[in-house]
Amino acid sequence: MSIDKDEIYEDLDWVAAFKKGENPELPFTKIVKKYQEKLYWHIRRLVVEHENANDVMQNTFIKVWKNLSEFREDSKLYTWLYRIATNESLTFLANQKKKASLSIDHEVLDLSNKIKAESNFDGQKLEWKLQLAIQKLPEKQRAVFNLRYYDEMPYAEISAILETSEGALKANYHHAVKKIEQYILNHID
Amino acid sequence: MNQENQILEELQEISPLVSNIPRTTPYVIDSDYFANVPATLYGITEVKNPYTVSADYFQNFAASIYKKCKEADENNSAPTLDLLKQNPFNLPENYFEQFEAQLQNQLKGNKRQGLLARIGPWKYWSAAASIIGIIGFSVFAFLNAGSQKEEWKTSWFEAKKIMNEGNLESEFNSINAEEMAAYLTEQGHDVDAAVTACIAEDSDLEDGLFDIENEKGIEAFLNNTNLELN
Repeated sequence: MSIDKDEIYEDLDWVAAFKKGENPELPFTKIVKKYQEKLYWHIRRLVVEHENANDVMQNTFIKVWKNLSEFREDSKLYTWLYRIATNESLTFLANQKKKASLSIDHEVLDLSNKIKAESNFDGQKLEWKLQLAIQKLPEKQRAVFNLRYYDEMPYAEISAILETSEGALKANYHHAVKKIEQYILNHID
Repeated sequence: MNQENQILEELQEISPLVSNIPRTTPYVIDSDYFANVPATLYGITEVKNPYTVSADYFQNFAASIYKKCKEADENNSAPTLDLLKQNPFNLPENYFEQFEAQLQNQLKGNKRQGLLARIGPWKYWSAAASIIGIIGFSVFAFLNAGSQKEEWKTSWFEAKKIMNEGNLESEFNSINAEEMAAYLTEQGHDVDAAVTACIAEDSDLEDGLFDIENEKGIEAFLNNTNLELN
């Protein structure tokens, strides 16, 4: 994903308008409309189910609303938004894990089953196999792969979002792709 | 080299297999769903995403989020996942504000009823004692207090009226229990002993041990509790 300078200035204008506080819902709505879909899919790929993605995205934007006046213009708005969305998603998954550890029903945690429950799931398709392979990755590695592969982010931006060094991210991405490859090789009919 | 090509090239170097996963996909996504999003922003993700969402999901999202943020601001509460979940149950308006007062009233009502129930058995004799006292005092006052004659006369006529109209019980019921006890104490009766005897009757004594609903019963009760009428 690349955002040009005009878009960055547009974002900064909206942030400035929001901070002015005269009619904050207008710039806030513009920000939501601009980024809702990107953030939704980023969250959805991490938590899989629509209902959960919806909850996490709502919490993400509520946090944005509450903290936008504190946003510092030395970082890009969209990396800040992605950071909140990623943290919310990982927190959600961690909470799910805690709940599952207390529950007899360990299926709650199995994201693969949730993928297979998607209405248009087709296990023969490589695209779905890829999704199943991604869910086998550790959560942070999954986030790295998704941000690089789907959101096409430079490592510098992923680094700003995940607060991890670029070198570590490159290694993470490499391992993730290798694991995915192995999974697909093991599941070719 | 643009970012997309850079990423694809990197992917080919790491895993040709993964980089060759077909980009075309049969996933069904409503074509109108992303109509407002510039295709350049979403790139190849549009064809790579296998997930679907309902067609109207994004339409009201901004307004919904804004409403929730305002609510969160107004409530000054931390946002939760359940923020939009509605409680299906209704409560009467100000239910919790009024609940404590209602509870207090109920408790007071029960307390009053309990007290009356407990003093019930001696109300007849105490009523009789009160009336006799009033009459006696009125006569005494009438005969001895010439300067206040008119006032005593009023008391006398009130007492006589109660006796003639036969509404002793209703008149008695209108008398506050504490006032009655104070009056009887002032007149020299041992009210505590009487109340104790009544409580004992409720809990310990057999039914019919004494009958206070007739004159003999009253006399027997007064004798047992060492009470005397003026």
